[in-house]
Amino acid sequence: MDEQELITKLIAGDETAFRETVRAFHSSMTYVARAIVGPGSAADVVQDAWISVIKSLPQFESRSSLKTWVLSIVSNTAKSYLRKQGRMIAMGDAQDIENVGLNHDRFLNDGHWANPPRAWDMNTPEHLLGSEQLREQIFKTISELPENQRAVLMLYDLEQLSFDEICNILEITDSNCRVLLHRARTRVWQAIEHLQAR
Amino acid sequence: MLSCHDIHEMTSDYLEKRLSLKQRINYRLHMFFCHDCQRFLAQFRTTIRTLRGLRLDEPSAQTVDAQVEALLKQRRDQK
Repeated sequence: MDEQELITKLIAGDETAFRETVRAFHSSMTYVARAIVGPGSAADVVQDAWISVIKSLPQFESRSSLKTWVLSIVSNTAKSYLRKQGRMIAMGDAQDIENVGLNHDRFLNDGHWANPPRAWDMNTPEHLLGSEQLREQIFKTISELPENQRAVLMLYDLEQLSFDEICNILEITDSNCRVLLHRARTRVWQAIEHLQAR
Repeated sequence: MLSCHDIHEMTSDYLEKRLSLKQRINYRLHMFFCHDCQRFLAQFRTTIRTLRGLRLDEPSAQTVDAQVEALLKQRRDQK
């Protein structure tokens, strides 16, 4: 089903289309909501965002993909939720970014590797993805990332949204987005290294 | 001359083609001489390709059912 057909069916209230859309979008919506309001209130935000999506669908103008538009609604819903609670929006917090980089004991004071990367048993994504233990470890690592890092990683590397789209959805600067992405990828690299290094 | 630590910090930007020409030349110059960073770059690239091969975890059937029911109800109430 192409996107226009899906939108037409959603506006018409087609249950199968709702089911397919919820299945496809729900996880990404939850990552965005958790990144902004935290895990405790994310389910409520996603619920409210779905209602806004259904109300606003007839006005959707296809200037972005449906998913990007839906994620922007999640972001707006989450921010208004925070405002109602008198909480500040803290995406891309600098301290959070600084504190979660690669362990500094990996490098000497002169910037050379103190503990250089070790060779891996498996060197291709196909091999790594074929290992259930590794897949589980990667998902566990992703689940333990700070919310903002996880949202950027999921949206960029898994959902393959652009930096511009992610910055708009999460309201972070381009440089924060790049740092958050790099920190998150580094955590995953370290997790694979931990299991793979000879 | 960039250090290995600098190389680590710049690697996502290098792979996303977000470095300036000068930074890119310096990055490649370091790579030419540094076996450890060559290995790091190869592993980091593999990590990203692995991430891109992962499928997002789908919501449970219960979550989907509850959400769809809420949406259908919302739509009925709107009429």
